[in-house]
Amino acid sequence: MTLTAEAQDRVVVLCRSQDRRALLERLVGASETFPSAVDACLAVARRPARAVVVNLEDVEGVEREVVAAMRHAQPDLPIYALVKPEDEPLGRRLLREGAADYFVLPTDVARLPGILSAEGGTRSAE
Amino acid sequence: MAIAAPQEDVHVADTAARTSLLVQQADSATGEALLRGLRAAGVRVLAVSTVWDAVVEMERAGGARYLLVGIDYFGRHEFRLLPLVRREWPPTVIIAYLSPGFEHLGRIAELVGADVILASVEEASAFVNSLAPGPPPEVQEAAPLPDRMPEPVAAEPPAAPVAAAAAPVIEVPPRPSEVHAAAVSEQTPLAAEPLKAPETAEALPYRSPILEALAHAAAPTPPPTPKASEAPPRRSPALDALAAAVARTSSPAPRSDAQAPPRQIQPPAPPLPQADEALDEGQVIGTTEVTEEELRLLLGEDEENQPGARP
Repeated sequence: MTLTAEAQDRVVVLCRSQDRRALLERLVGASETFPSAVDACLAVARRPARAVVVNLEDVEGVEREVVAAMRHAQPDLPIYALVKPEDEPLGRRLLREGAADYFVLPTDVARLPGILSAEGGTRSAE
Repeated sequence: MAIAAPQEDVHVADTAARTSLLVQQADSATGEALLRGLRAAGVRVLAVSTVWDAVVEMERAGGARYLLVGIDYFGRHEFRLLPLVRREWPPTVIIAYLSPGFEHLGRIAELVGADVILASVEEASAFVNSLAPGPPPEVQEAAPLPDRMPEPVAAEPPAAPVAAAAAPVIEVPPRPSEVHAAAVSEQTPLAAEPLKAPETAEALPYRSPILEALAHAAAPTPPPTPKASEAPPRRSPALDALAAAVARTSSPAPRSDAQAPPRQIQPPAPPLPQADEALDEGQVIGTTEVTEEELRLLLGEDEENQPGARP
C-alpha cells in the first residue's frame, strides 16, 4: 500500500498519561495523540496513517477489541503496543491477534523510532 | 377534504440516514427484540459487536439514523462512544437499551448524550412500533385551500378539537430543563396563572415517554419555550410532582386580589425519591451537556497526572 506524504508522517498515538505521552511524542515525532480509544479508532478510520501506538494501560480490559477494530478499519496499519513488564503476556497475546509488535516499558520503547522508520520504508517500497 | 400528496421522508434522503447501527449485547432480550423489530419494520440495521466497531462503521457510513447501544456492560471506555457520536454526528439519534437492574447505567447514558433510554422489552417494542409509518397528521389535512374556503360559520367548531380527536400527533415537547424552568418561574409572585393540576404517570399514554423523547431528539432545533398555559403534558412524574408541589404552594393565593402584595414563596425542594422512581421506570428526563473533564470525573478517571496509577 502506498501512503501519501501526509500519511507517511502521521502516527496515531493512544495515550492518556502525560509523561508517557511526552516520551512518545519525542520518540515518534509527528503524531496525533488521543486520550481515549474511541477517538483513536475514529482517527484511524477517518484518515490513513503510518502506524498506531497504543498504550495498553489506557485500554485496559478492552485492548483486544480496540486492536481488532483498528485492524478492521485499516487492515495494513501496523499497531504497536506499549506494555508494562507485568503485562508482557498480554503483549504476546496481541501479537498473535494481529499487532505488529509490542514494547516493554520503560526501556524497550527506545526501539520504536527505528522500527517505525523501517516500517515506513517498507510500506513506501510496496 | 383535500387528499394529501405522499410526502417524501426527509430522513431517508441518503444512505447514512437510512442505516441504523446496533451495538449488540450478549444475552440481552431487549437488544434481540430491537433487532428483530427494526428489521421487521424494514429499517436497515447493521449490527456490530463492540463500540469500537461502531465507531469504524459510523465513519464509513458517514453517520447513521439511529445508533442503538446496549449498555449493560459498559465501562469508562465504552461510554465515551456517546459523546463522540454526539459531537461527530449530531443528527444521529442515540438510543441506549439496558436490562432490568442496570438502570444506573441508563442515568450515565443520559448524562453523556443518549436521547432515548429503553429499559425493557416492552419499551423496545413501543419504540419499534413508533417507527412504523402512520397516517399523515390530521391537522395538515384539515386546512382547506384558500379558494375553497367557505364563509366562516360561527357554529363551526375550531380546528383544535378536531386535531385532538384525531390520531395522536407527535408534538415536540420542550426540554425537561425548560419545563422545569417554566415550573420554577411559576413560583414567582408575578405569575398570573397557577399551574394546571399535574398529570400522573398513569394518566399518560404508555408510549408517550419514548415517542416524545424520540421526537425531541429528532427535532433539528430546540423549540421555543411555550407559555405555561400552552405547555404540553409533562412526561416526567418527577416534574409532575414538582409542579404539584408548586401548585399546592401557590393555590391559596387569591387570584382576584390583584393588588395584594406579592407573597414570598419559598420554592419546594425537588422530590428526589420520586425522581429516582421515575428513572427506575426507564424514562428520559433529558440530557445534559458535560465537558470532557466532567466526563472523566464522572467515570472515575482522575488519574491524569498520575502515570502508572490504576483507576
